[in-house]
Amino acid sequence: MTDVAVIGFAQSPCVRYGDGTTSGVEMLVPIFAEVLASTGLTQPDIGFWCSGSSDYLAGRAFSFVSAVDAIGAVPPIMESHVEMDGAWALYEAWVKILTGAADTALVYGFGKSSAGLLRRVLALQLDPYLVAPLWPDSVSIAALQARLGIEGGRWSEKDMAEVAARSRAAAQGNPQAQLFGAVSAEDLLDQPYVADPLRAHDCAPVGDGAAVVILASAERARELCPRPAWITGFAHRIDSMELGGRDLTAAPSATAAGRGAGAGPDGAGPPIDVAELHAPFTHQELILRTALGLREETQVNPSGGALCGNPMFAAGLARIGLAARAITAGQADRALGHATSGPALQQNLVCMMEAR
Amino acid sequence: MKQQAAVLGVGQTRHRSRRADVSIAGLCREAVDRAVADAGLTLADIDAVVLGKAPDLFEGVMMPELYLADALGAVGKPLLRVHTAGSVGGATGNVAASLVEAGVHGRVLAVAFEKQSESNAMWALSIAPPFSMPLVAGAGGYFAAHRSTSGPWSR
Repeated sequence: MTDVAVIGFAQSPCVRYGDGTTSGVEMLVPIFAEVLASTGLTQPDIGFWCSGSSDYLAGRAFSFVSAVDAIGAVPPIMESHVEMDGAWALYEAWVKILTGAADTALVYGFGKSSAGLLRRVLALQLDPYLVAPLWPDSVSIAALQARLGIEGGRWSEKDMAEVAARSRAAAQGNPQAQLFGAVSAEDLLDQPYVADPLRAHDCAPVGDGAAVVILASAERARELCPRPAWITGFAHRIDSMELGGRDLTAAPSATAAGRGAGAGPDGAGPPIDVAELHAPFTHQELILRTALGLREETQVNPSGGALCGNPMFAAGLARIGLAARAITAGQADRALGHATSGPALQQNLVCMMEAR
Repeated sequence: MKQQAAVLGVGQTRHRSRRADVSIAGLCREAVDRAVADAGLTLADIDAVVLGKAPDLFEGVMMPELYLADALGAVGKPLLRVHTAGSVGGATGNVAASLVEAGVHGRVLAVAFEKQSESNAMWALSIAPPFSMPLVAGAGGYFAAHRSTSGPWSR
């Protein structure tokens, strides 16, 4: 099995209302140019292209086809697409390089959530016969999860506000962040509820954005990058969607993905310097810290995390890209990137990377 | 050097215009049960599941693999969702085979479905996105344009 590394990452700014179309092309062209320039590669050098996006977000069938315009696919390219966050497209590309069918891959994810009412759109992910007709939206389902944790003594509204305050402070150093700034948990707790017990600061902002990552085989990575982020483990798992069928205050699929990727469990193994967790709600960061067995010394979400910018179908890929960047920039020796999908942390992915 | 991948078993439902007797989950499970039985396996023997379908608007369910995780026997396992438009059935096989060829998994279940009677496929293919020429009504609208004037397929 060949080794594979992340050698490049770029991300568009996360903005509430982007001025591009739902095709994603306007967001993708600049970041393709940025990531290719950073690696010295050009379009014909890329062996495999893979993307993650959603027709329901774009409001039309086959929306990813339009995004291929950002590549300029002449002559024809080897390409694939998942209807998932770009983090899973990265997984498909990682597998492709492992087979030897390609030695470089460019992976992107994009979403223009401002085109619709995101919390209503996401209700269409639910069981179409028994649950979706009731239109429980994504924020309300997360609120049920938060309520169960509060009543079970797992966390408090103050714990949740502290996650938000810490995230926004961290995001002051992230030029792509949608929300940032110095706020106190006490002040946040004075704000009204959006969906009891969630306040606005507990929910990721809705916005538009895109992210891109370049992967390379061992030989190419050493040629192209002075300090590649070597992938040491990559795994994903899914739980049942049945909201009454599992303990919503835990994320067994995150635990299993973390173990599959070699992240833990419970503090075993070498220390993780940086973890970028895809937690669209404050209490979900608390669930994920426990599920992944992260130790106190691990710096969580130095970018501010999804709570400061959550472009759908790109935010998970961006977490891996940011964790990789901590390694390529020399700020970390071992890093974890995480992505989630589905209601109440139903599906989870973990990518472990290290410097060599 | 990649490993060889082989097909262990196949299963298919009978194709009909309407299957009002089963849900989407029931339809998929029918094919899954047949494939697993054909291979002489049980779902417990499956390491990962790849679901192909395109587009979501044909059933009116966004990312239906999330709701189908139980029916596909994927709970606790990796579940990938492939969407490559009209090539999705073949692309699903490609992705599933590559998981074996890469040595990531030993046994992978590849499932592809459409249950167009759940929604309205004509409507799903007739949405005009902003800034695009609204020239289509259903799949026929796309292909009619190719033979309307002086193209290579015109009469």
